[in-house]
Amino acid sequence: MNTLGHIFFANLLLVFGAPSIVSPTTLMATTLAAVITDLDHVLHLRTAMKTHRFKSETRSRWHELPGLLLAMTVSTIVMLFSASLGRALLIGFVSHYFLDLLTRPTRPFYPLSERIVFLGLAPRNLKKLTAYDTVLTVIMGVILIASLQGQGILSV
Amino acid sequence: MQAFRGRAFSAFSMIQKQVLTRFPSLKQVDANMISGLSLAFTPIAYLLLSEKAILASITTIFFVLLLDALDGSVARAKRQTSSREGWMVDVSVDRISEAIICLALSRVFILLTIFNMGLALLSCHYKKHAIIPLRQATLLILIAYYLLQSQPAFFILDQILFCW
Repeated sequence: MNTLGHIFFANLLLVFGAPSIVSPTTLMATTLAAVITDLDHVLHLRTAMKTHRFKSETRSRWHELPGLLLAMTVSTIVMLFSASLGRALLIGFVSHYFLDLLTRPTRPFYPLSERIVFLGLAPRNLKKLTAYDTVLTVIMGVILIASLQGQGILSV
Repeated sequence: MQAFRGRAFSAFSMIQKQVLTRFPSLKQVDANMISGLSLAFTPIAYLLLSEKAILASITTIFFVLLLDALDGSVARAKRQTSSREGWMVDVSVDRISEAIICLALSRVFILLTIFNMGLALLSCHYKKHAIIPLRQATLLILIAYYLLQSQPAFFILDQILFCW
């Protein structure tokens, strides 16, 4: 999923799943957690510009199950100091791995295994995938903005 | 306990067989796609759990587990039994699904999910399957929670499930 899609989905899970902790700080923490996992793609930006996509080989171990294990452990430690911040981080991290496994070919056990897993719920053709991502992102964005406005956090 | 597990397992396989007989078109669907569908329904369980809609979340988790079990049956029916890939799809979907469900539950469940994820990685490394059936356990605890609402044990279950 694209970066905006990750941000919208993570914040939707926060807003609808944990409305009691929604604040600008937790929204920011969730957003950060939802995008930070993608930092390993930066190294492969040049190749991606040519092929118009990040292949599963560009995903480091921190983008797969070992990374989720670490991210969940870090969030749990943060929870000891601030329960709401830790929970917001946890939602951001988990939502990223969820969306990636659902919509992209991944190597969940990398570096233990290089086998690529694809669940087949998103198209593999680049044009169709872009359209699929765009539609999902717009739907999630609209729902998020409407719910944030409803809660009075976002006033446009 | 063993007898209960045996009965529960055979009841679950019977439901699977019924579903496959009623909907033979399911056998045409890719097994990985069924796993994906099971994962796609998990956020609904998370949202229902965070609303404390217990009966609805029990139903959703049961449906997720049924879909998860169905992919194995479909793979066997289609003779798609390249076991290593199937195992990886199954285990990775299960772990992410658990992680999504635990977002609505207490820290005990988060710690168990982290432990289970470590077990999954060790299972992959040592090629031996050793994992806690956390979603199934959650389902049983939720059923107990629903049935014991007027009992003193309810308070303990509430603490175990939802206390932050």
